[in-house]
Amino acid sequence: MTAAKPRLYFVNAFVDYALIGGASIALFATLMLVNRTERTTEVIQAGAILAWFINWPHFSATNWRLYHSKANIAQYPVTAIAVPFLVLAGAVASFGSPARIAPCFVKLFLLWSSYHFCGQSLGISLIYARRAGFQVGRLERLGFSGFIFGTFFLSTARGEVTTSSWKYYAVEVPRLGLPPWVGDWACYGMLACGAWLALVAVRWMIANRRILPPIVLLPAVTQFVWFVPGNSVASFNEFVPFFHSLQYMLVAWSMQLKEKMDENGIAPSGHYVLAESARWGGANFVGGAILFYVLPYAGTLFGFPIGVAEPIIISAVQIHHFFVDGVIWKLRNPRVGSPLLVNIDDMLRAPAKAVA
Amino acid sequence: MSALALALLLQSDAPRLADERILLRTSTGDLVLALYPEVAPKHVAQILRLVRLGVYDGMHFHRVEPGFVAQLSGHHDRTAPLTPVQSAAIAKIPGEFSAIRHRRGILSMARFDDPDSAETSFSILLGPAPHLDGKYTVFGHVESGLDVLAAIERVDREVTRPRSRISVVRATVFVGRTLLFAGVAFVAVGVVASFIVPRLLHRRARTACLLLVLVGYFLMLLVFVKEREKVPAWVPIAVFVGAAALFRFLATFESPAPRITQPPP
Repeated sequence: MTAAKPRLYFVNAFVDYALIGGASIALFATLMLVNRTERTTEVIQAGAILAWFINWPHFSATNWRLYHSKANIAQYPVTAIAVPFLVLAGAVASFGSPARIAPCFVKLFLLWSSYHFCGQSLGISLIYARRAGFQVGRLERLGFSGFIFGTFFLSTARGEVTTSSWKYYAVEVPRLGLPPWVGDWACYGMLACGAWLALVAVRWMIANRRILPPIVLLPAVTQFVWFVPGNSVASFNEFVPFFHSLQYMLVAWSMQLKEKMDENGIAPSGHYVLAESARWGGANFVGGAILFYVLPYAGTLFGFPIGVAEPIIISAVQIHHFFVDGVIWKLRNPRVGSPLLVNIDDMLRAPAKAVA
Repeated sequence: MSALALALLLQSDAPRLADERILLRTSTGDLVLALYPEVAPKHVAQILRLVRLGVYDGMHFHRVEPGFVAQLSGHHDRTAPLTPVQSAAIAKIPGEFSAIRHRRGILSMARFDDPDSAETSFSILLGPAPHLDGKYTVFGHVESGLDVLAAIERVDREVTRPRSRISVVRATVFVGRTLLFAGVAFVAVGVVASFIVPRLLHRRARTACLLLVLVGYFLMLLVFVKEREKVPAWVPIAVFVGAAALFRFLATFESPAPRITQPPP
């Protein structure tokens, strides 16, 4: 028996291209064309609204995936049980020393956050590579990883040249004071890996006599736009977390639908997709609001100003998210790898019976 | 490490050093001062408090006697007047005399005739002064910057007063090496153990090692942030590359996942 060939898209070409990066690249191009690069009040408000509906729920979705089943908790007990205490200890220490420990706690989150964005871009590239039948060996992985993580090295190195601090809410976040040449070398490395990735893609196309679906490379290109040309556009920067979360929600939503259907033996139907999407989306909206709205305000009940409570809580929630995200999407786990190759049609319609 | 610090370490009764160090940024160069909290707890507490409040900023070495002392002026002789908060923090400190001998590099608190009259002024010994032993409070020593001390000693003077002002541009407190050593130790033990442990123990033990690395890195980050303006250029690069390596390392958290058999079709 041969396994069915996975379909290329989670939903369809339009939706996948838009959510995986097309929409963000289009927004970047539009902002540049109309010369709206300032972080205006309208931009901040738009970013805040999108955070409520997509960005915050994406953190909740991660927690949901880990904590909603005892089997998951049993599989990752350190992440599920020990890590929250470690992160809580960091948050308590930060509240105890807002001038000394909190800046480092926030700094750790900010450094890790950029790396985390790249990790997700790489992961999504690998998903589409598998869907497209693009074999990712060591050489291909070098191209993907080098180019994608090169954007992390480049953008971070360029932002950490001085030793002056900057304010994240009311917390003074230190900069590392890197020599400027670090950014230059990061740029050369990133470009070299990008060229290598293009080369292996061309080699694959020649060997297979077909065009590599562009969506395989789209996450890497999107990552580049976010962190390199987009990094210096303040208005665009406000939306990058939203687009990162949008990518995530597409994958997590598909997984949720497929897993729930398989676990409970639910028949594919439009009603199921709508009902489960609404239930899952609603739960994550509430979860996100608790994590990013209720918890910081709870911190103020202990006498901490919101300008201190908010960055510490945000850092704690995100650091926890990075840990959880790092373990629940391992493609090597067949329980994860298999549902990651679904298409929305699998949940909408029963498969046609095979003819003997 | 200075010769004095080495000599003190070799002594069996070497005083315990505080975690904090004082960086005295002078117009001649930087001096790092180590403190003895068990020998002179009240002096150390007051000096740390005053340094943090910026009381020592703008003071100067008003007296230099080669082979004897370089004395830092009191708070009355600052370039800028004290703020009310700074003034309120200054109190007379009772003498905390000990058996530690006055010799080059030792920090000795200045006072008037009254043994309990010390406030802010102190001296750095430029040579042995046995006549001061047991009569003036010793509260620390110069840990690094003895070359700067030598430069101060050579300054052109009018009797004991330097002709050109040797100012304290800025005095700051930073955490010393204990935290750094702890961080390095955590990272080293965590990294080494994470490679060895999987061969011996369960994969979760390796994950615990990764947490150790994270905690160690965070401790080092704390020290680095405090001192980042006076470290060599390779240190921030190491911190940055270390962060990327740490995140890469943490990507193996609770991995590899146990093999889950596919359910039958």
